[in-house]
Amino acid sequence: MPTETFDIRKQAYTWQALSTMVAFLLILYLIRDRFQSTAGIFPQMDLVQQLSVFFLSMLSPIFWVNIIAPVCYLSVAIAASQVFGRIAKGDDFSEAMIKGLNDMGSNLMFGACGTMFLTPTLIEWLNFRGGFKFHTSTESFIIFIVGGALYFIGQIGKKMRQEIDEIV
Amino acid sequence: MPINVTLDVMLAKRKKRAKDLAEQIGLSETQMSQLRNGKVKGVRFETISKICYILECQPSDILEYIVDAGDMNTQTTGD
Repeated sequence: MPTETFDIRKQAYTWQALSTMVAFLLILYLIRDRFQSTAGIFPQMDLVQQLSVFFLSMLSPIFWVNIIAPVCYLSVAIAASQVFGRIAKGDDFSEAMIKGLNDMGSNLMFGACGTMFLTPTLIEWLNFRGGFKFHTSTESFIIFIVGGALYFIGQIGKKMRQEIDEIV
Repeated sequence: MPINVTLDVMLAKRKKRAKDLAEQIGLSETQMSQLRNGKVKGVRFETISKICYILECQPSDILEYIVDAGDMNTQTTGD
């Protein structure tokens, strides 16, 4: 139905704008968070000195280990924005849309794994303590499951697309 | 699935080229070739209607079913 399609497309535009905004805010939040946990611990310093500390902290692997999960979640927001963009343009479960869904799903799973296991363990290793550390939370488990569901929807979509392409 | 596509027979009867028919009904040459060779999973009613309109025939003139008891064992999508 044309009215329904129009509504979906209109909604997709709104969601695209929203996810783009979320991605932008996530970048800002990530910079602010990293700045606060590195240079922010020296409030007596002026901004130039704090910026130097911030950039110097980038030389430490701990800086990068700490941003594994946020970067994954940022990729989810970017992929979501692209998927909504495709829907808004009238795409009908295209190859690009399926790839977007797969990216969203896998990045959500990676992000959750990063929060729960990867980041805590790597930090332990970088502090020469060794072993494995888990930082489990209900939210991370749910994010992991939602990520898995999105990934599987993408895979089913891929299979359906192939079948539809074989119908003339 | 023993559905034979007998489109070639009808094309010959109507003295039409597959390429022209593909163009008229909006299929690519590859799709038309796949259809003629029975290498497609399905044919839309819309496509059948267009073919029948242009070739002035009935669906049974372009498709034929060969009885196979094994058909009942194949899984139908949506079950």
